[in-house]
Amino acid sequence: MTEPVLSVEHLSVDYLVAAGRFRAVTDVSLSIPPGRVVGIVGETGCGKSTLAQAIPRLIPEPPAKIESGRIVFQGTDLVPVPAHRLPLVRGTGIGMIFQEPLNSLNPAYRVYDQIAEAIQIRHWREQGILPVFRPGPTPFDYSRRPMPGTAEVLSKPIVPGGATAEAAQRRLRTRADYRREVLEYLRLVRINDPETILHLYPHELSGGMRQRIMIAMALSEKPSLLIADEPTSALDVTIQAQVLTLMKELIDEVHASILFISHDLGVIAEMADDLGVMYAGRLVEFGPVEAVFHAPRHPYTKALLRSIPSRYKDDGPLPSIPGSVPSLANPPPGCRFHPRCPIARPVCAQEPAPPLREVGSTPTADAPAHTSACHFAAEVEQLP
Amino acid sequence: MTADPLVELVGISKEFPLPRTVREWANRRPARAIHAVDRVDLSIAPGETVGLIGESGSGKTTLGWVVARLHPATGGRLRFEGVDVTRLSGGRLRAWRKNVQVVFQDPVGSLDPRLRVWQIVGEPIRAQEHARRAELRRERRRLRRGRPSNAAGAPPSASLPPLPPRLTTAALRRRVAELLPTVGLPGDCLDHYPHQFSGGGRQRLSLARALSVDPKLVVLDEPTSALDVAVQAQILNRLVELQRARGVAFLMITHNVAAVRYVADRVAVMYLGQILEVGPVREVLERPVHPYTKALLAAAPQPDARRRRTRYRIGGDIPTLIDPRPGCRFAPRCPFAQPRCSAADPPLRDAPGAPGHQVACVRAEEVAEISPTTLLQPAPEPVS
Repeated sequence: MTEPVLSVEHLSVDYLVAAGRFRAVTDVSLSIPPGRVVGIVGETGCGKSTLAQAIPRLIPEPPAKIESGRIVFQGTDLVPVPAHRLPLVRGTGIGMIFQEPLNSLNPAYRVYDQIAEAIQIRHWREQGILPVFRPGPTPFDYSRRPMPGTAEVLSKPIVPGGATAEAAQRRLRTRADYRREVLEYLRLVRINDPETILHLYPHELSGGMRQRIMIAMALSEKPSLLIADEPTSALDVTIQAQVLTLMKELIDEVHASILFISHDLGVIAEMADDLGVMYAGRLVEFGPVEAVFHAPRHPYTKALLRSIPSRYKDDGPLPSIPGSVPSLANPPPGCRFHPRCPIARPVCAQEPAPPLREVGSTPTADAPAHTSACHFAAEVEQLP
Repeated sequence: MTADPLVELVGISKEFPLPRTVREWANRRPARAIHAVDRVDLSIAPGETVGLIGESGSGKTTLGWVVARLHPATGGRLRFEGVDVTRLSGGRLRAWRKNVQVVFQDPVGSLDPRLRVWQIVGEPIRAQEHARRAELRRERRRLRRGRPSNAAGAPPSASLPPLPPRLTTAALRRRVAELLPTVGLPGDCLDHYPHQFSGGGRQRLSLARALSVDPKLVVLDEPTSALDVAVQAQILNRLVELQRARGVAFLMITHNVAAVRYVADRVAVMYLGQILEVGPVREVLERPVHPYTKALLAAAPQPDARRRRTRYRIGGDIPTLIDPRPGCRFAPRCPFAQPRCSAADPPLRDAPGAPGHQVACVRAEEVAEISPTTLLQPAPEPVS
C-alpha cells in the first residue's frame, strides 16, 4: 500500500469549558491514501466537525485540547508543531471547504481578490519568497558524520543555478497574469461568464456560486489534502446535485485526497470511496463505502441506514433508534452505543470500548479493510 | 378528494412590494414587487396531509404563512370550512387562530428562551381562553343592548351566556402536563427552559405548542430539516401517530422528498411561487409528469452506494421572483422547453391518465413517460 497522505493515529480531542470536559473525539484512527475520497458520516454532535478542524489544527486551542494521538501529514506529525508555523501547512498543504460559504468568504473583497490572494500565496511559496512547511531541522548528530569539509563548501556555488537563473524565475507577475489564472480556475469550477463574476462581491452571488468560488479558492492552492466539511448542506437539492457533480468531475481532474464530512447519507454514498461512521466521538465502523452501506457490521450503522425514510405512511412506522445521543460530557462506559443497542450484553458496558477490528474483507492495494468496533460484529447481519 | 375541503385556496397571491427606486420614480413607473406566491389553487381535506415541496425561494413558506393568516394575502380567497377568512381581523381572527397552528422552521428561534415549558406550550391556550372570553363578552353586550329594558324583573344575566371561570395557572400546568407525553416528552419537564432540550426535543416542544389548542390544521414548516436522520424518523413517526389519533390535517412544507413520502397523502410541487404539479403521493413521486418534479427527484442524493458515478444534467440557478415573466417558470432551465412554453402561464390540468393528479405543463403528454433517471446521465466508464 502506498504511503498515505494523512494518517490520524489514536487522536483524542477534548473541549475544556466551565461546564466540564467534553470528549468530542476519542481515539480516532484513520488514514487517507493519495487520490481517495474518505467520507465521515455521523449525527450532529458526534465530533465529525471537530475532527475536520483538528486535522489542520484550525480548532481554537483552548477551549479545545488535543489530548493524545498523532496527525501525520506527509510524514510529519502536526500535533507538536507550534502555532506560529501552522499557517505554512494550510492552503498549499491542507485545503478546506467550509459549510457556509457566505461566512467563509470575505464580504469586503471581490471574487477576483479572494482567489488571486490564494494564487499569490501559492506562487510566493513556490518561488521561495514565503517559507514553506518543512519538518523542523533534525539536530545534527556530530558523532556520526564529520562536519562538511571547507573545500567542499567553497567549491559549490552559493546560489544553485546562479544569480541570473533565480532572477528569471522570480519575474514579476502582473495583474494580467493573475487575472488569467483566476479565470482559469473559475472555468474549472464551471462558472459561465467568469469575466463578470470576477468583479462581484460574495453577497451578489447565489449559494451555489459561492460554494463554487470556495472550491476554486481551495483548488487554486493545489493542496495535497482537501477537507470538505459539509460542503453542500446549506444548498438546495438541485444546486447541491450540481455542486456534487462538479466535485465528482474535479476529483478525476485534480489529484487531491479528500476528507468529506457530511451528515447526509445520500451525499456520502455519492461521493466517498471509503466511509467512516462516527458515534459520540468514536469511529465505530470504517471500510469501503459499498461494504459499509450494504453489509454494515456495527448496530449503529445498521440502525442509521434503516431510519432513512424510504416508505409510505400505509407501509407501517419508520424504524428509528430509541433514546437519544449521549452527552459527550459524561459518555456511557464501555461501548458508547450500548444503551441504545438492540444486541447489547453486559460485557458491552463493563469492558472498555472495543477497537476497530477487521470484519469480512481483507485490505487490498486500493481498498482498506472493513473494520467495526463491536464485540458482536458477526451478529449484526442477523439484525432486521 | 372529499366534497367539502377544510381549507381552500382560490387564486391566492402574495406580493412583497419593493421600495420604489429613484429611476422608477423619475420614469413614472410603478414599483416592482416580489411575487412570492402567484395565483395558487390548493385544497386540504380534513385529516389529510398535504406535502408542499420545493427549493428555497419557491414561496412555499410564504404560502404556509398565508394559510395560517400570518401574512395577509394580496390576492385571491382563502376559505376555511367554506367560510371566507381572507379579510378576517381583530378579535374574530384571534378566535379563528385556534383552527390553524404553525410549527416553525427554526426550533431555536421560535421558542422564547426566557419562558419555561409550561409557559411556552400554555401560551396558545391562554390566548384562546382570552379570545373566547372576549367573544363571549361581546356577545353578552350585544344581547344586553338588544333588550329594551329590564322591566321583567329577572336578573340581567339570567339568559345571557355565562362567562367561564378564568383559567388558573394550576389548571394550565395540568393541561400542559397531559399534552407533553403525546409528543414524546416527559410530563415532568414543565419548568425546564428550551435550551435544556436537544434539537429533536425543541421540535417536539414546538409541536406540543401547536397542538395545545386542538387545531384542525397544523402548518409544519420544515419540521425536520434541522434534525438528523435518526431523530427525524422519531418525529415523523410521531406526526403520523398524532394524525391518526386526533384527525388533524397537516400542511407539511419541506424540501426533503423522503420525509414527504412518508408523511403525506398528497403532494404539491412548488417552483417560483406557482404549483407545478399536485396529486396523490405515490403518483407524484413514482410517476412524476412535470420536468421540474423529475429534476427535483433526480437531484435528491440516494443513500445507495451502488448507484454512483452519475452526473446531474439540470443546470442554472433559481431565477429571481421579482416581476417574473409570463410563461412556465421552469422553462429557462427545462431540458424539454419549447418556444410555446414561454408564451403564457400553463394552467394546472389533469395529468394524462391519472385522476386527481394535476400538472401545469403544456407538454405533459409528451414528457409524462420520461423517467427522472434520464436526467442523470451515466458518466463514461473510467479508463483503467
